[in-house]
Amino acid sequence: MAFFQQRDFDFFQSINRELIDDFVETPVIIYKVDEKNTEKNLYGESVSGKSYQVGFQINALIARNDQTVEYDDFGSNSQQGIQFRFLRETLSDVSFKPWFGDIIQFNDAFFQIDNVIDNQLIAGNVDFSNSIIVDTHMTRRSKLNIDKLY
Amino acid sequence: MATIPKWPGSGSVVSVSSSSTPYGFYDDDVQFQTDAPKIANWVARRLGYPITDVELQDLQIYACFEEAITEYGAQVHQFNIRQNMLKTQGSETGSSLNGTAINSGDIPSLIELAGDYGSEAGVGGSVDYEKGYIEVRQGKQVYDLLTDASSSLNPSSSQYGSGSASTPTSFIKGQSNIEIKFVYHDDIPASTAFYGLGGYAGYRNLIDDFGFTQYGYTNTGPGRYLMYPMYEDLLRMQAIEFFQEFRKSAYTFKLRNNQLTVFPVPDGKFKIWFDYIEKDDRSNIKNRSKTGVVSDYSNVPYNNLVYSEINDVGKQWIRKYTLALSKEVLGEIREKYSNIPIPGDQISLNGPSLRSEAQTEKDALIQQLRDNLEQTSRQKQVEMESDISDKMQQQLGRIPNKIYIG
Repeated sequence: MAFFQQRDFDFFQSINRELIDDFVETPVIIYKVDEKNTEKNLYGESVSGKSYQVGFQINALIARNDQTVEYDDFGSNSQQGIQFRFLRETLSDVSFKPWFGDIIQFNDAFFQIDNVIDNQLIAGNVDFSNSIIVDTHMTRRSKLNIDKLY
Repeated sequence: MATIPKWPGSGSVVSVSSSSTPYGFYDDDVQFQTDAPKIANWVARRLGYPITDVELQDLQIYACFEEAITEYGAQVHQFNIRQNMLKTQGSETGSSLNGTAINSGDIPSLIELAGDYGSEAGVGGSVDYEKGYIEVRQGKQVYDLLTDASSSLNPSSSQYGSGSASTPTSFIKGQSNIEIKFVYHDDIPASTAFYGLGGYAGYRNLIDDFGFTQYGYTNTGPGRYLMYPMYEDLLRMQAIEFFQEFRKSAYTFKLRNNQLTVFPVPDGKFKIWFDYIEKDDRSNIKNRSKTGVVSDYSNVPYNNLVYSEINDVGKQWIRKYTLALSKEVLGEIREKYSNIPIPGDQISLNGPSLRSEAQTEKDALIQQLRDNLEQTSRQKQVEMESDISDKMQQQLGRIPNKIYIG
């Protein structure tokens, strides 16, 4: 019998849920790319911008870099890289897995997912994957077709 | 969603059939059934619920509750056993002493303990004194106990050979060691000489001689004696015994190993008697032991307390101890892994500090209970009463005495 059991993993999840949902309690809104309503070219690239599904709110741990501003011939450009860390079980509850191109709204800004890390295996067991971590960069609001419904 | 092992907000119903506690000592107690969910709720709140999750389930808190009651009972009964060991030793183990006030003194057990001294002094105890004799013959001074002595009793053939009371034979066969306690011959009891010449002369029939019998005194029975102090009689008997022992007896002896040497050389035939004990009889502990009775700390019949009969003072101790035990369990749960992984990082929980706090609280509660029990011991109570009495005397001594002017 393995030392690390489902019971232990459940305990970890309980601690994680308490930490993320009750103590840190930082909500973000995730918008998944709506592939059906996004017009694509021959290479699978969007032609006239991406469409996104209705966003849903979820709590996450957030590791933020400071905002930076670049100045070029076209003016200033604000940039920020953020890592959003989700409890895998929480995402599983809403049957969602973030993927490249999805948008995360946080702190009145939008961040596009560049990388998805699904590698925190407790005790090295693939059945006990603890988290999904995504690296993002800040994206222009004007590039997105996202509006408040009400 | 996985099963979350944490306090759900309320405890389940406790009953005998639900096996709510590991041992079920108190499950059938209605008050226990009522209190268990309440205490579980209180413990969870004391540990942070509902602001923080408490990774305990009701069954764990019930187990702590049961242990706290049992620990309370154990401490109380340990004190009772220490307090009553001498009184209970040798009594029946069948019926529980729970709730029994033992007010008897220690004299019965002390007398039992003193039995061995009585055996050695020949005034009681559990070692049998046997009697044997040697037929002293004219001119023979030295006698061997192994070959010349006989038992006045009927010894068993396995131990002493084939002797009998009617045909005594040498009874010491080297299979049993004896110890001679007393050697004597044809002694005359002091009481028989009590009224003899030099004994009670001058007092016997004195009342009759004075003619007092006509006033109700009889010449037989107690009325015939003048009332003299009892010590007078005792001194007289002792004087007779000393007289017989030192002046009257012409013989003395030496006993070395098995050889009894009589002084002077006997000039006639008579019996020298001796009292003896078998050494095995003295050392055989079974002669002085009983079975099926309280023998030691382990079988004094104190059992688990009846929860509903514990007073509120005890129940409050039990609540606090339950909390300390629960805290310890929670600490162990939170300490199983020194670090808990969270998305992209890891954290450590407060398991070690919980366990440390719990241990401190447990020790303090146990110490407090023991101190309180110790203060209620008979010795302490008597000391306190004595102190109070002394202090009262001091205070009363400061009250001015009335001055009488006549």
